[in-house]
Amino acid sequence: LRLTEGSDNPMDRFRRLAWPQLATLLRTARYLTRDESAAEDLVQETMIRAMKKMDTFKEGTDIRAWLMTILRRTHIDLYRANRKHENEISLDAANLLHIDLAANTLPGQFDDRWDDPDDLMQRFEDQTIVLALKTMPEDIRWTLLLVDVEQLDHAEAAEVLGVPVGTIKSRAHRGRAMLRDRLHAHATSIGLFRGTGSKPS
Amino acid sequence: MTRDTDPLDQATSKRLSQLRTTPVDTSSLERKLAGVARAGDVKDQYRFTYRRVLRGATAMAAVIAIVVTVALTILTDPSTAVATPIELTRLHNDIVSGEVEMVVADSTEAANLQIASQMLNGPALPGFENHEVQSCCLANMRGDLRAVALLTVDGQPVTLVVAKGSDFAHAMGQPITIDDRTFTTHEMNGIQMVMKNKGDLWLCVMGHLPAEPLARVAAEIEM
Repeated sequence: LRLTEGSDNPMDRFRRLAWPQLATLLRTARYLTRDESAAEDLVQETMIRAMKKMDTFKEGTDIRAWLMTILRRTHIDLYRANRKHENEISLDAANLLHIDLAANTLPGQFDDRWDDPDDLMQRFEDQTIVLALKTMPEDIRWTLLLVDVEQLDHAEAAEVLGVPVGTIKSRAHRGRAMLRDRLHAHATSIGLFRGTGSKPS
Repeated sequence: MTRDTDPLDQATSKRLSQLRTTPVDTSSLERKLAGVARAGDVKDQYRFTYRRVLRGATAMAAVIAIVVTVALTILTDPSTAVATPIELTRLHNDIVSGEVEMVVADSTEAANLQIASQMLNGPALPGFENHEVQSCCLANMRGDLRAVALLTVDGQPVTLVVAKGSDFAHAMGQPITIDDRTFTTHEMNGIQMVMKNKGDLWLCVMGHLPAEPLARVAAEIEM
């Protein structure tokens, strides 16, 4: 797509500002939906809405936060009427998480690793982390995606999610603990921990 | 120790940040959006204009209802029309939930006559040999017409959309072949779509069913 610096045309602004964020949106959508097809549908609709609203975007503000706000709104619109399938996502993720951990680790491999949290967290595959994320409540998941994965600052994340900055900080802390709990619980349930390691808190 | 200096929190945050480096292949999405971008401006869509249904004429086994709607889909220019899966599923849900008010006709022929009276050279609904037609409607987008019918297949409501336009775009998915006829499938929100372009017609059959029974319905239709 042709990039046109300084154009006032909304389509040119869309191409110049929004289009380069396609990968960011698709990555986030993957963590919100059950498969690639659903993620692409979500981003497709998001980009269409963004195109329609491009003249409302204020240059100089963060395009990622603006697009994430649209992505979140679109996700709500799409899945509000389809709670059944949201539940399917969580159940699928929970099952896959169990299988994935079993496939990639050996019994006892994780013992005592919470004493070295960096090392332990690195032992979980990306897919395992993503599946664990998918089992988490949506407001928590969104917070972790924005703050930790996409590295938005707390104020930007608060704007996207429409909550105070303090809530974002609280959710981020709670969400990370929740993620560790899930990883620990699954690892323990299939014997990867022998129970001698300190629990995550 | 504060949250910001908690080593567990920091390790978890650091691990999550690494997900940002996961490679993302946007090529498929870019292809879908290319037509949208070319379309240039995006017009408001889905502004259905409904004609009041004349309810009650339901004595016949196959009761057909007609409705004139405006704008099924968002984006179009002279060379490009895009039916997003979201819009198609929304159309399906609106029709199934009865949100679309309809003008009732008493046969497929009467339905097609009604369509013809509303728009010259609009698409005609194909006949259905083995499935009960519950209702149908006509969707109009800048003169680009889609005929829409509601069927019952295996006890489930199934929506069929026929549109004119060889360049009508749809989401790509796994192919399925029934009776030597190959269709493209796509699934969204539990709604399975089976689609095909042929000549100047585009066909989509969708519902909460597996692809195969939907493809069998599509295969019955002569395009």
